[in-house]
Amino acid sequence: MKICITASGHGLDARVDERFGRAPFFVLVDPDTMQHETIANPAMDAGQGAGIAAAQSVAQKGVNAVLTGFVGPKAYAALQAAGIAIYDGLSAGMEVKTAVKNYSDGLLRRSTGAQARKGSPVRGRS
Amino acid sequence: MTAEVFTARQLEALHDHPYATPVIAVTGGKGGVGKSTVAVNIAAALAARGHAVALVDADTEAPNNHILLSLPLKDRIDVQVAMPLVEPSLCTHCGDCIAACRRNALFLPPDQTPILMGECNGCKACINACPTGALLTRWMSVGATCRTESGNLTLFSGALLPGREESTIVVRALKDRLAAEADRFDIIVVDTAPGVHCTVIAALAGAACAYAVTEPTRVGMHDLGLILDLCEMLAIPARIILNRSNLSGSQATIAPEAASKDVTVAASIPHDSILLQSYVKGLPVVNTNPDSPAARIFTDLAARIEREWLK
Repeated sequence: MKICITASGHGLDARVDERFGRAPFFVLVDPDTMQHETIANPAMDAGQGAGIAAAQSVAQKGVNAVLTGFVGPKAYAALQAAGIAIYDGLSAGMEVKTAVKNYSDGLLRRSTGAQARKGSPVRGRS
Repeated sequence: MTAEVFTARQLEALHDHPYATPVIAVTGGKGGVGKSTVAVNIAAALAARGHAVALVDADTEAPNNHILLSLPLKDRIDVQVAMPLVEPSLCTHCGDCIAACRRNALFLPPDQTPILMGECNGCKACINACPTGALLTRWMSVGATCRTESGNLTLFSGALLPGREESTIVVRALKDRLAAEADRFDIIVVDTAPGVHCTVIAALAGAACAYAVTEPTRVGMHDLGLILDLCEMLAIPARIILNRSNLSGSQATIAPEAASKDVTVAASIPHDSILLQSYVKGLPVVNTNPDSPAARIFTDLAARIEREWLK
């Protein structure tokens, strides 16, 4: 089991970053052993398609679930296509290890839909 | 503001075209200042003087020269862009297409085939990057070009489909269509969209000079400044046409603006009910009322263009 928490820094003590596609880092944690690694999000400054590219990164790392603040519509579709569970609604002040604990304790809820918080219109054209 | 945005090599590439026919652009920054009225009248006046004229309506988001000329749009050709279409049996899940896409439009779920999820601009980088030929080309319409002949005047008109964003691609397709027969025209008049963005740059490309139409209002003067800056960046000599010149407004500011940009006012067109009637009717005033004051101004402009470019 591997979960990904969007973060503003490295490791378990880092703070959660609420954004998915433009979070600076992804902390990847095995919630059973608390073994972890931090990867930089290469899509953080992408001109376009940050959500899709971020989803690509975590999918390639074999992540099973993403814990974040909110996920945009395209990233949501990409994560779903990759079979990655989405838990949104985390707030920025929380430490990564607290998010992991809340997940393990079953306190987090699965997302029910994309939350494009800052008015980015859905303009996919597949 | 005269930042050097384009290098000499970029400008050379931008203005390069495979024909010798001179190109005159009609532009202006602000919308509704009379660009199309000026363009159709200059084109009609040149045609009336016996020249073979190509009028290019490059305002692809709201093309209406055909309305101002009461011409039908004929010989419609679709403008299409390429999109990737996955052939699953050939895909090895290598991810080369994902890496090639500069817009992050493709997503490759683990052990599956790529999905087009984002905004594809039709660049075909993914199709070219695929080592096994698993990405086929699917064509999608984004607009159309039309070509209508009427005596000495041939109208080339481009239209973007509503809701699409490939207006520059339609402008380029329109100019490519023109280029195929440009040598048979004496002169080409290009009517650009308002603004100073990509579609206007594509429309201005290759122009020997640009007439910037404006009106004596603060908005008109502001937007004139923008288009004159763009013309300077593109190294296109510009001249001002002051439309509705007797509108009580910012006449006093035009001389300093022109002087600061080293451009001249080529014509002033006072508000004129005969000109307005011709606009409503959808016929160039140079044809409906050739002796009216406005028609004379356009005819004088045409004569000047003739002297400069048609010798």
